Amino acid sequence: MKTKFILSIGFGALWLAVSVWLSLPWIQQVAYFLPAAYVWAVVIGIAFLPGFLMSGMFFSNLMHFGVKKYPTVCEDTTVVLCAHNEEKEIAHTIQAIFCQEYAGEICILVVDNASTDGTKRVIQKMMERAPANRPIRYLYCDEKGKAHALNAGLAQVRTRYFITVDADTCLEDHAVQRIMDHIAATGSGCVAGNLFVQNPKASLAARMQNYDYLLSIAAVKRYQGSYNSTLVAQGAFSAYQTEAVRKAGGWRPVMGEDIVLTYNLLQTGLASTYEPAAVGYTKVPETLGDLYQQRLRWAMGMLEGLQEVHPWQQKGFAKYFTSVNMSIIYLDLAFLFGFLPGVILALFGYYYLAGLLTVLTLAIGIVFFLSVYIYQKRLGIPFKNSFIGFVCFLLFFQAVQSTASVHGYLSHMFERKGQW
Amino acid sequence: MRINNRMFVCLTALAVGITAFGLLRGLDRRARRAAIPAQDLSCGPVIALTFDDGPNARHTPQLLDVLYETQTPATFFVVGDQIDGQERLLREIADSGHEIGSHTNTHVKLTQITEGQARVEMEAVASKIRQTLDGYEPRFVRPPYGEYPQWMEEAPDLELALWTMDSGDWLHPNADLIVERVLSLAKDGDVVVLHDDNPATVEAVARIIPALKEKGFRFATLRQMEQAGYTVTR
Repeated sequence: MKTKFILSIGFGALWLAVSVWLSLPWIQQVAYFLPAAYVWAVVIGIAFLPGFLMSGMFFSNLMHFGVKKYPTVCEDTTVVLCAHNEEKEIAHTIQAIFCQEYAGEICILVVDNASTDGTKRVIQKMMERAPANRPIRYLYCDEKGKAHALNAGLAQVRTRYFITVDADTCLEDHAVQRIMDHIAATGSGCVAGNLFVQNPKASLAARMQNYDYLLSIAAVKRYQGSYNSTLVAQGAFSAYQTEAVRKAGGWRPVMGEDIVLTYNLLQTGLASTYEPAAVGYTKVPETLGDLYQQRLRWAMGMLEGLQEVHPWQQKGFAKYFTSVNMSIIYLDLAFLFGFLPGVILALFGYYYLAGLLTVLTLAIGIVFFLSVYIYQKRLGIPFKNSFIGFVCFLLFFQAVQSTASVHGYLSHMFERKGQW
Repeated sequence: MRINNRMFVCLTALAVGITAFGLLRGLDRRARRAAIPAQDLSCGPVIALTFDDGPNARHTPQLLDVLYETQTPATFFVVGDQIDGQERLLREIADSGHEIGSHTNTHVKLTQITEGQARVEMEAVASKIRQTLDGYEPRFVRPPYGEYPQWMEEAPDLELALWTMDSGDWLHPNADLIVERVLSLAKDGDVVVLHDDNPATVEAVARIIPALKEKGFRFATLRQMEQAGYTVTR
């Protein structure tokens, strides 16, 4: 693991060195027309640093191209499913758990978090239909907030491991088997599942997110997971060691409760890994507004995690990955105040910051994404494609992501309370 | 979208726009420079600084800054291949009041090609100049390496403009050597050949101009020099 890590960093450093060497004359030229400090800040933020990170990730993922298969287990497990006004989705989610090809018992612990719609009625109907090895336990948590609901569920878990699934996330038939095999074999503190988009054709926003989950998020988790440092075991679908979560104090009542928990687990020295073959289809925001709000929350969550456990307090490779996480703030700012103005300059015929090299970078990005796509395709788990979604993802998604993220960072810094 | 979020998006868009506007204003500052006026050539020795092989993305802008700060008109013999992608720079040269001449399209040795090929070369660069500068017709032609076939000297439609002093910057790209050579040889009516693809030349020109001014020299484009009664063509 250490060798591969060093090799991937080395590759990234080599890429960086070549990039700097090739671009120095161009930077010197541009710095003549634009403020030099600004040019350097932008080029570092939109080219050098992302290039280093992405190339290291790409090389590492190439070295870890195979999907590990773990010995099959069938020990009993629990799925903690928190729901707040999910009458429309929860039945499908529970049905998907019923259909899991898993020999052991899956206790479905549904935590109704003060729903005011027909969620309880739907759960009760599903309880009547539950097979013997998929019993449903209903729990009511009147204290609003996902963390409270999760902690209420955690208090009732009786199995060695448990899985969290969002009420709008349908698991693929082998998801529980795969994630249980993984966590039982590796002893990880938590294992993040692989999320695909459940509603990829619902809107343009959903089509773009389809590729964000399929390509970007999956690639990052795979990279981090290869070194036992998946920074976010997402609440939508992850498996946990019950005792480890209890020792870590469960979930904090913050915006990014799953991020903070993962950071806490990492701090104890436990591995946080990723199982690409354990797939959950999650419902993504269908409007730009909802997407923006989600990414704002995620950005706040990232800072909450970093504040809860500083990078230097982490152990092993997690130290590196959480430090890199901090640099994302700089990358977002460079994108907004460097790349976007550069695009505007290009519209006026000034190709100093965005020009032919941007097109080349896009091409390199496509090659990178292609490798991730092939990996996902090889899993044999279906997902939908959308050409327009991919193009819009390439061209516009980062603008939404970076704007929402910077909003999230500022909200956190000025201690503004986030909203779901 | 929630109102708070909408406001932040608008603020961010505004901030991005302001950043872009600020950058454009900075870039436009160069384009808004007034053209360098012609100097009074009637009293004192006159010298023409000419620059071959540009426009160069890196060094020509620096040179233009030096010429602007010292209010020195000059002549640029540009290569067609160099114009590609540097149209804005060519416009800046022209807008600054400098003269533009032809130095062929590919910097080819004119003695090694046929007349037909040579005419294609010169028409190609002239066409690029016309297209970029809204019909500007380059009057003077400077053959690369100073070598030209006999037919060019006799062609009535070509005005060959060579030089009387070689700065040597192409051979010894060293600012001290360039400055020493030019200052020691400069005389009234000289046409100095330099190259604006060379950082040493930029540094040297920044020193040459004030030094020659102190000696009483006036600077001119080739056309201005010719109008003042000097011979600039073969």
